[in-house]
Amino acid sequence: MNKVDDRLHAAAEETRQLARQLSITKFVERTETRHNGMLILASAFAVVFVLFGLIPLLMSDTNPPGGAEGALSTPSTPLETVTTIVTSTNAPESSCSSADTPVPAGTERLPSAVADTRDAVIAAAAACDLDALVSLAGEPFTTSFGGGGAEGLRSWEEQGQGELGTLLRLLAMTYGTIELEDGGQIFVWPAAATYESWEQIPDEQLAELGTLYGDEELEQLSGFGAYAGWRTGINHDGNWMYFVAGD
Amino acid sequence: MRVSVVNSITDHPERTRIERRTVARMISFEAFYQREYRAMLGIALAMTPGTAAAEDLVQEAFIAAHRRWDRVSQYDNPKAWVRRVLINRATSMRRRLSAEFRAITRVGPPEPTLPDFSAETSGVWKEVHRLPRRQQQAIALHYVGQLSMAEIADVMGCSQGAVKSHLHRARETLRGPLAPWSEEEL
Repeated sequence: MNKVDDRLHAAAEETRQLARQLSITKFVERTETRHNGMLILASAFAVVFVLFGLIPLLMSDTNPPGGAEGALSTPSTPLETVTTIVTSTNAPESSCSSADTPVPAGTERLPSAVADTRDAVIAAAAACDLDALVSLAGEPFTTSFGGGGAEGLRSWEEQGQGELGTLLRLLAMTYGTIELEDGGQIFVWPAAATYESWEQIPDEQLAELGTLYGDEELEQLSGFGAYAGWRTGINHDGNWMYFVAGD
Repeated sequence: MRVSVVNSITDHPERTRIERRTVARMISFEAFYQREYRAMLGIALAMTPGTAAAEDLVQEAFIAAHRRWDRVSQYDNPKAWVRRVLINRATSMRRRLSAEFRAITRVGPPEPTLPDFSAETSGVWKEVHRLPRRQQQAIALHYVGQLSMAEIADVMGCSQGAVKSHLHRARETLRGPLAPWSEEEL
């Protein structure tokens, strides 16, 4: 009986290997090419998708809302870029630190380069695609992982101490911007990290931090004087710059 | 250094509400698809006679999930739901392919081959495909899916005892056709 069991295990291992080698085909493309009915459904969905985007634009005022303080000069992020998918060539880990973490929705009014990077980071983190995540990191890239660069993301994940769920939660929060002296900008999640003192953080942003920290942890963080918890930043060119915690 | 804050959550409340919900739903499904695709494909490869058929089977299962994603995504274990769809459809797909194959072979094309497996692995799965449906499902989920007895029972909608029974009977049946290969290796 053990021989049969061994045979089955060997066949199963070879089968899993083959499954890992085959590329993941984009979901919508496959349904379009292989199922005519789904092509019609996909087309109808696309029309509705476009209409949802266009009607409010046509009906709205041409001036960008949000006021001088909140307005960015760049237009809203096209929805298509928000749904960017990272196609992995490696098997995702079932015990990934991002498992069970809700995937953030799109954030409008980001410059497209920033939005693209944010969406790609979200997709890679949600899929636990560490190769993609490391490749998305800018140069240089700072993490709190072992004082190193993007490879720290991988090593900590492999040690079971990953923070990809934290990354997803951060990117779901309100963002703020830091204006650099050279005219550049860094888009920072959470916005709480852009205030110079804890007292300046609005209540709604403190509430957002509650999705990441408990009351006791928030109390400890407040004692530092300014938010120094987990934060991540992407510059105006779309370079993912850091994912750090601490001062 | 000047700091400004953009409240991305409350801007454009009516427009973004619709878009955010639509996009969140799509991203959430795509992440799920990316994460679970290969595990599902492994199980499908063990249950279908060919890579294309296995990929179609996985697509069908995910399409079913996508159509009901608002509901399926709220389940405690959405992938268990997709696995259930996958194994249930595997049987009907093999029946359909078998009928197509019989029709095609009347005009001569060769028998469809299993995916790029070694001869040994192809032989194992061909024997597994001859087993009763529930035994095939238990074998695929246990060996390829590497699921626990409790997880297999959940997917198959039966007790853990029934799963063990299916596996035992399957191994007993396979002992005849598979054992000679093992002896040849000795």
